[in-house]
Amino acid sequence: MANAALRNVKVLPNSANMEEARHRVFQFFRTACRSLPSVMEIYNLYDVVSVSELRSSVSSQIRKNIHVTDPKVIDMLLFKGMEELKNVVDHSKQRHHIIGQYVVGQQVQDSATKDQGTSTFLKNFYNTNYF
Amino acid sequence: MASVSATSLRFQPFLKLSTRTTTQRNQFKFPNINTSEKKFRRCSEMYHDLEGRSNGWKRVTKEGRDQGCYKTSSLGAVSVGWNRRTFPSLRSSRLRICAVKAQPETVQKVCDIVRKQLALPAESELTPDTKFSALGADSLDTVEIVMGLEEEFGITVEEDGSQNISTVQEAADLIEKLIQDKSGAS
Repeated sequence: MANAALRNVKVLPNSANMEEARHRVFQFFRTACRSLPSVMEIYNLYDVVSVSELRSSVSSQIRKNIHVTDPKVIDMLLFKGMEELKNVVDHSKQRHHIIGQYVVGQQVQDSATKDQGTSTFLKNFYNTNYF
Repeated sequence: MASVSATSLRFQPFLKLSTRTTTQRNQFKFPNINTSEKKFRRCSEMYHDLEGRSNGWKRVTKEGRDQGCYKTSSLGAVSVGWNRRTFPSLRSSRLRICAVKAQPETVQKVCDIVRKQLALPAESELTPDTKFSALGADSLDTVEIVMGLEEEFGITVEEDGSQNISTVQEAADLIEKLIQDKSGAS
């Protein structure tokens, strides 16, 4: 069902203003949330995570870019998000990809921020290789 | 519902393979007049499946569509007759739906979901007139609450409906209305 719904998705023209871009973000979030039961079934995630937790993960991903105000950038991010959602629903990813990106990824980041006693070098080292 | 559709997603490659085989067989045997009724029914069912699931195979899809239209029209005739008989009662039930207010159970359930979604402490006051924005929820939080309510009550809130939700009472009223519509339609 989710697969059929996502199959007819077309690339929309650029948003005219910020309000339209904002509207499209909510539309994308709704589409993603309605796909989550299918994702749970496809990847058999019932013993790892719940639908509400996945929904929180998706909303936190969207919230990371809450500071963006350029409609063109928002359209680009929405395009990437829709591509990612399509990859997930079409089973172009494996189970451990989903778990690593949307289930465990949050915990790793959370644990990293708790280490306040480490030096700046170690903090940067844990975060990324490029610094 | 979701599990059935997801299961069909799983078996998609098998369906594709069988689709090709069936297509070739049908094309090869089309001039045969001795085709049995059973085979014909099975083929028409396959066409009907093809119509909904794959964008390719335009010829087969076309034939399937014709078959589907024929079946739908016959079934539609029956359902139209059925609907005519029960139309007055549908009207009265719809009039009742307009006057329905949200039940206390629904309001309580909505409050629980909102509290869980926004990670509010149990001591915080959550009255039916409380606004989501007053609780510190932004627009994305509101949409997330609506999606959570959809999952809990098994309904689908349309875009027009979700835009007007800003308090617990409005959410509960809309949910009650949608539940009534859903039960009335079935």
